[in-house]
Amino acid sequence: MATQKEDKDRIVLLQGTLDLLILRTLIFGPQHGQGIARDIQENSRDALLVDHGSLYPALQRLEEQGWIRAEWGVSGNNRKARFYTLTKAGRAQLAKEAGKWRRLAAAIGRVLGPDSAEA
Amino acid sequence: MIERRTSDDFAHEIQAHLELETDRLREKGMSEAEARAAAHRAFGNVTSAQERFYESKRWIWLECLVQDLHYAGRLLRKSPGFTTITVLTLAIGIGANTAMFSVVDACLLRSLPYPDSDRLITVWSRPPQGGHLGVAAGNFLDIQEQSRSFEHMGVVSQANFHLSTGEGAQQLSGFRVSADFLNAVGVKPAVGRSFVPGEDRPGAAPVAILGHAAWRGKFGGDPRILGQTITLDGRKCTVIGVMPESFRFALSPELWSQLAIDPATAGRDIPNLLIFAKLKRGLSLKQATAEMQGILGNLARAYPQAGLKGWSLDLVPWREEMAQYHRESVVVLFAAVGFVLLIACVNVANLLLARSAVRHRELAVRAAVGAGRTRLMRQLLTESALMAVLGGVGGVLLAVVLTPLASTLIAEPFRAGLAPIGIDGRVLAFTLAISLFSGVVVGLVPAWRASRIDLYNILKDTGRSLLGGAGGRRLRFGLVVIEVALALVLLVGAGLLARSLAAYSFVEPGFRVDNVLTMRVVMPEARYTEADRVRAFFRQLLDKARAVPGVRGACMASFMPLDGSAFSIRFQIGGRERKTEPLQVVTDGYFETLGIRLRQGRFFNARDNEAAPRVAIVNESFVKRHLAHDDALGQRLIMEQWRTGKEKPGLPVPWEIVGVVADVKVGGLGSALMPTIYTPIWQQPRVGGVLAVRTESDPAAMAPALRAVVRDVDHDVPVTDVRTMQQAARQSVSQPRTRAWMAASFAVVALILAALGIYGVISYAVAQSTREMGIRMALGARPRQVLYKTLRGGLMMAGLGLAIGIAGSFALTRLLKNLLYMVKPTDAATYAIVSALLIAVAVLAAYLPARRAARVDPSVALRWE
Repeated sequence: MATQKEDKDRIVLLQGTLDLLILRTLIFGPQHGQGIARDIQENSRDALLVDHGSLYPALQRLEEQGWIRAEWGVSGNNRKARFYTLTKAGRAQLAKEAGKWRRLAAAIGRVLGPDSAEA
Repeated sequence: MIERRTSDDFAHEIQAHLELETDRLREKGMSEAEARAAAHRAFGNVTSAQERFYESKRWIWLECLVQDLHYAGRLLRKSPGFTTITVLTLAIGIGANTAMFSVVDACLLRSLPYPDSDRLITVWSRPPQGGHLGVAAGNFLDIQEQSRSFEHMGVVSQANFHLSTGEGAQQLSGFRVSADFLNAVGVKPAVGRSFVPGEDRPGAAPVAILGHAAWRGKFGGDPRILGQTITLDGRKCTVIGVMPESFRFALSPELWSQLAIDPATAGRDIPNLLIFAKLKRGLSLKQATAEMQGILGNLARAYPQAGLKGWSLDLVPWREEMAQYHRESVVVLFAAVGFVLLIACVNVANLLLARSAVRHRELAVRAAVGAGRTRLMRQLLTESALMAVLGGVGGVLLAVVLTPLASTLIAEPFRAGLAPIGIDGRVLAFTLAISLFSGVVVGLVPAWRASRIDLYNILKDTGRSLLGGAGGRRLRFGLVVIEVALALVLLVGAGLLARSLAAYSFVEPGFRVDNVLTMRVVMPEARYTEADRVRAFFRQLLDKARAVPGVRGACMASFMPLDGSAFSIRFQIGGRERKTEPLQVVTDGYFETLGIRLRQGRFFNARDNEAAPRVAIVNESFVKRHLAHDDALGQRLIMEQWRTGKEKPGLPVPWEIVGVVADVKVGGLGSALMPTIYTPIWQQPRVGGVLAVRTESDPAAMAPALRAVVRDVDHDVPVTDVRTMQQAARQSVSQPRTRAWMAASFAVVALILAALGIYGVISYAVAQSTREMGIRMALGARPRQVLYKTLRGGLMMAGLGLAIGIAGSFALTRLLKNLLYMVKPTDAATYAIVSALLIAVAVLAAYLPARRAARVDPSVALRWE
């Protein structure tokens, strides 16, 4: 059971969304998986729930696409971890996907109206 | 592709994640244990993430397959008996199908072995009364000149060539063709040249192209033959080429020579040539037919005396022409052999079901440790597919033996013109396809059932089985019923064909088939140009043949019964309109030698010679059709009289009917009776013919003596087609015999498989209910009662299968109608006999295990399990 009780208001991420958020997180520099999960959660003020388990297949997928690359390194608190870096192709993909996502979000916002968009 | 990442590496990463997360949570103030638990919770199912990582790899299915194959191979090795039976069963089914497919492929599916052979068309003329005839030489020339739909066009006429060599005379069979014929077929000699334009006109030097086999066999494969002259039909003839070894043509021609057509004299009323033409690329048969129809219409108007009014031209692809005679029997037997494979599959499926009942615990355990439903199904299907592929390999080996047998389904003269029948890439692809198909068919039911395993009950219960339960038993029962039904359909089909074959042996051929030897005597036309010379040859030959010890009688005739040949003659009788019927030209002694019965009047005798009044004998069918209301004797037939050495017959003259004889089967035992006219050979001699002698003892033994007689009369006259009438009779039903034998073998295999199916199910039921039987017997049931109870199960399967099979047979055997002789597709006797046979076999198959049940020792049975 991945979800806890207090998670019930959080939004479970769709696959494509998760990819986008990972790429977005990596803009600030190399990061390991746990760090990515934490950043997404914190940046969304805990509104987005990242199922840590599904993060890794997503990372794997992005790596295979060539949008990120990975190497083993040492974390801030001296733990060995696999660090992911955004590639040039990943950056381009992010720009493309983010634009698309924003247009979609705006469109959905317009359809739903100003009030419910906030909810 | 990215370098492959190991799952170890992935596991490390997850481990790192969990530790980092634990660190973070601890920093937030959780205890070590709390933090660790929370980190795990947030991660979710570690194993599942690993699996998802693992399965995201493209080669996962391949790894599973390798694993499954490995496992399946181990299982098959572990139970060699089971494996042998299933693989062998499938091998028989697949092998028989492979062999039949090689025939189907050559006969019906693939193109003929010529370039663009699908555009090779034959042109037939269709008279107003229907049927297909050739085209007259004069009309061919006009068609060739006027048509625009074809790249090449030529005519062909079958011919026997008389070859004189230093060591004696030989006969070569082959074709006379016009110059463009070989271009239409699309073949060039392997060495030398083809015929050139103009070589098919009178006056051109005679040339010949040898078939490859004849070149090897009769000319020693001598490459210097090119340009040499041989003596063909008494004339010098230059060999200009040798056909490629791979060239195949109907009737296996040994020699090709040119057909000389004289445009000035070519007739328009004897349609004896067959046109071969290569359709232009992109033109449809319909367009070409329309054009040809127009040309024929013009000819009919321009030459009213040719009598072409109401005639039409039919364009038939040569491929279709070759296929049509055998399509029905090939399709029917292919369907039959398909049934055999189905039965084999059902049988193996049943065995697998029985075995998966034994394996249910293994499968349950695998499911319990996390094998998914599809994964289980995939494993079982891999097992059955492996089995089927092994069966396929065995099948190919079997097919190597069976294919030559299956190919006899196509009569030899036709087979010679098809692509060679054998096991090649196409056939192997078919084998692979049906092997995999069989694998799925036999594996699907057990796999489907296994995937619906009720884990809880199996693991809780040490209980007997899930598949041996009521559902499984019903399923296996149903499968055997299907088997029995399919087997019955095959048995009925084979029974009908066998009865047809038997019917031929009761056919009254109209003459005495025993103790007659016949041989064709081929006289060179170049030397026998005068009637007197031909008559002298015949008289000498008959005198000497009659003098041979052991010969009771001898005669000559243009053709003999059963060989399917006759001349065709137009005649007039009683002032009515002209009709056409078959004509046989015979010597005196013909009817006596063959044992044809006289109905009225008299036979021919030696006095009916060239100096005597012209006489004729007709048969009963002739009287029935043409002289039903008159007395036949003394009637006059007005017919043309042939003149030896002349192309055209003389004017119509009267012939007096002096006798009426019984009907004779001319075209094989199964042929219809034909009205026939007989005339004495002395009154219109034809060059060549068949010598027949009636012997006191074994006719085949007389062959050397009679060959010597012919050689003695004329050293340069070869003898061919030496055979006894009995051989001819057998040969005339060789196609029905092959069909019947093949169908019968399929049916026997099917019957055995069905019996095995019944045996298997009953044995299994007996083994499963040993305890029950023991209890029954301990409570006082008699062995006899137990026996009946068990037997009843077998009889029910057989009975139900029988009922379905009979219904199926009624629906399907109608397709056999054209292959049957003197037997209806619904022949009650056949149905009764095969049903009885099937029930008997079913009872036996059920009795063996039932007896075992009846002999159960209660004390042993109660301790069972």
